[in-house]
Amino acid sequence: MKESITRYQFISLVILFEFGSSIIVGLGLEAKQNAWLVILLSMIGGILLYWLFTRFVSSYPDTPFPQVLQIVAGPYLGYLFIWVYIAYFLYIAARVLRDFTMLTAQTILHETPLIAVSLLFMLVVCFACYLGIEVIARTSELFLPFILLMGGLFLMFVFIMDLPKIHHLQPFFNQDIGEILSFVFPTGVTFPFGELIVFTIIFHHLEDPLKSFRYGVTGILYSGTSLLIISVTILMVLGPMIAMNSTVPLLDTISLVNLQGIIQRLDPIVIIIMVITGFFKITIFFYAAVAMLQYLFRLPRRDSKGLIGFMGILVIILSILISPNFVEHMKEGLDIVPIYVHVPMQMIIPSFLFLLLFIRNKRNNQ
Amino acid sequence: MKKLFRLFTKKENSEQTEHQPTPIDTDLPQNLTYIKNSLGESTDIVIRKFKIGEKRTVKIAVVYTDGLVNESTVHESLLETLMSDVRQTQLSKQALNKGMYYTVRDHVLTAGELDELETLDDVLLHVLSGDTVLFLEGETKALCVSTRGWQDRGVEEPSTQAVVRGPKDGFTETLRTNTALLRRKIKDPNLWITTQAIGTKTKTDVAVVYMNGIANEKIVKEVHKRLNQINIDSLLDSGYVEELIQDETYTPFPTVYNSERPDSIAAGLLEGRVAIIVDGSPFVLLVPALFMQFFQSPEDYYQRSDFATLVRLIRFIAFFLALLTPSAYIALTTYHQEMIPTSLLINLSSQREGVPFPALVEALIMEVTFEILREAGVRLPKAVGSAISIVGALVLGQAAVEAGLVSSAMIIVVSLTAISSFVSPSFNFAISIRMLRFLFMILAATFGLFGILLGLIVLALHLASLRSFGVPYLSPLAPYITSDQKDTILRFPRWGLLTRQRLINQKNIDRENMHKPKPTSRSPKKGDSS
Repeated sequence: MKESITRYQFISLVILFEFGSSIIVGLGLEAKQNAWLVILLSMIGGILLYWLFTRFVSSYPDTPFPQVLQIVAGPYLGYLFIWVYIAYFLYIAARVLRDFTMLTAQTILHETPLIAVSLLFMLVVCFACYLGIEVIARTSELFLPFILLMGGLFLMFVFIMDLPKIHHLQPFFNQDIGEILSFVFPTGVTFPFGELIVFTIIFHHLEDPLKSFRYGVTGILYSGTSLLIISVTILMVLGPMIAMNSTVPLLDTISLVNLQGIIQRLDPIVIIIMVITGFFKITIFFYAAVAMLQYLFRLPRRDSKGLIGFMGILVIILSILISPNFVEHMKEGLDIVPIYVHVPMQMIIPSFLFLLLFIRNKRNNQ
Repeated sequence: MKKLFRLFTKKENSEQTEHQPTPIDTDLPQNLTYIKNSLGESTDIVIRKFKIGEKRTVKIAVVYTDGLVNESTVHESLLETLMSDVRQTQLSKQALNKGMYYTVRDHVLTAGELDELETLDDVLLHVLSGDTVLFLEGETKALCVSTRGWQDRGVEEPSTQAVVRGPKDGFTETLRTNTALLRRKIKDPNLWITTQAIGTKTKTDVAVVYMNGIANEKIVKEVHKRLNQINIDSLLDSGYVEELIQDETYTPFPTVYNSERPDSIAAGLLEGRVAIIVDGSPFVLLVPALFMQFFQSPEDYYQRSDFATLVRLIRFIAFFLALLTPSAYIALTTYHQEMIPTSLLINLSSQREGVPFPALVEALIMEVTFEILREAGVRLPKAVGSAISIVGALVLGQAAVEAGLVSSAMIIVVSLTAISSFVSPSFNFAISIRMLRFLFMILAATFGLFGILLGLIVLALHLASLRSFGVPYLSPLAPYITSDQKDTILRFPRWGLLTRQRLINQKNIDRENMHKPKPTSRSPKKGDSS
């Protein structure tokens, strides 16, 4: 039986995926007062990229992405691309896992060893992948209202406390346009919007794959707007300098809330958002890698326990070996990965494939 | 795990050989000897031999089980008519010529339900079910008269799922009474009932009840298919059937709904669900059963809609309290003291000062004690009940705190959990929360809030993966169906409940077209006054 995903489920997957890590570490905060502009421009760039990703599904609506790769790029080059993307998705899954275990260790579990946290996290991710995309999608649909509620509570309490100060956002446009664009590209566009390339694996599960562009853009608009509001709120509360240097600005913001001694210590709100959105981000990346491997090995979902377990252990090891400490990890994530990993994977290869697809469609029409 | 189970469940099928049914012999004594021998001359089997006919030439034997038949029916409509009335009435020549067997069948027996049997195995089955069987000398057929009527419990108020407002009748152990209770509620020709016997030894009647035209045919077919697959020797309660037809074995959650209340089952039938009644059990099964159904009580539909919505919300809160209170307490006191307000934290730690155990052990002691008390309370004879409640209050109360075993905050936590777990209108659903609570406590003790959150994610994933007869267990929440939200967490007013649930039923969606009631205008119309 083919697993199918409804419209709501797809949109909530996109939103939770976009929220994963970006809502916690803050988006565009390096741009200081111009963060809102950076997020807005990144979102537009992200939508353009997403349009590119959906081109393949509109030509081959019911075909899994790895198969599309082999059709478009030919069997050998396609095979190579499949492995490249598997490696890419696993690498990003490991990076995000590292992000979240670090953040968890910093915020709530100060003395628990990292490996224990990542082991438990990965166990849940593997369980989700074993159950399949339909179950993951239903779960995302179930959790989305809670995350939105938590975000709403965050905003409500921060504004009730009258914490945001408009002067933190001034002066506008204190940087020249080139500097602003340097935040948009490559960092802003690729993270988190360009990462939506992973959804190419899921498109053919949609009830109506041809509408994937419309649904995805709805998701991007909702999540982008929410991220914009959250980022601007954080900036207005903490001020540009603290916001930029904080590891978990959302947590720092909410810890300032203290309403008459009754409503205080709202850290659980941020922890809940962090764990749940992080779970979906890792799960989707990991699922994409697993789904491609299942396609390569012709393994049915119910028989791939061993494969999933093995890949899970691989991701845990990778997440630990990826960098010796948090500072280096963040530095890599912000400076090296976007240019040398994200840009080729999210822009160059898809554009190349799109070109091939375009030529192919032209030839078929003649 | 599954391999382990297979070890125990694997069996050789070679010993089962086809049993050849024994036909009824023309020789009457031989038939009776066969019956006596097969039943081991059981003392409750009554065999009455006598002769009928004008000249008392035809030998006849009546066989029935004492206690399972309605004595007066047997005497009045069988023995009396056969022995005395037959001789007094003048039967036409034609009727007599056809033979005594047909005369008895067509003219004598006044019973409503009459059957012809051809094998002695059928005879045994019917005799043991409470029917009376007539043998005539020289005939290879036996007449079977339905005389079932045994002592049973009357229709009483159900002991589970009590309501303040609403019908108070409950199902009984007799299948016929139960189907009658449903027919009394739904007088529609489309209420279809099919019966089959399951259990090689018990031959229990199992009835499948559904509304033709409303119930999804696929689900009805699936129910029949799964019932036909059952191969078991005994079927003593509907719990057996539930376990044999459910979709997923390895889950703490029930995927089959059961109720003792005819109104609840009737409402389910009208929504398009399929009911399964098992003879001998007052608990009727209803499929497909969804997660949200276990938060709903029949009373929600008898009370005002706003109140019903509020009560449903309370049940939700109670569900999470019952599941998470002890684990949240453990996580907060062990890992996240910074999340507790300072003054409360000081209080808590001063209470916990004298307690020698970590929070997990403390919580486990109290929770296990409570579970033991509850189990004892269920099994106790009523006379000893009050003693247990006194002891229970001591164990789970101030005495435990003063003894220095637990902190007083823990008492509050356990009591809150206990009360919340009784809120669920469905008993078997509350059991699953009881079991999961301990898992969450261990998760909280090892990973704090992070562990609880991951536990909740796993729980959500598991629930999302469940199906009940093909319908996703979490629908209409996930997959989200807007039109079904009117009767999920909220309960809309009756005029808002115009359509049936989408996934359960696909063709007959519209209920009656009700309109919002409007009071007739108080001031008389202009035309009326003149």
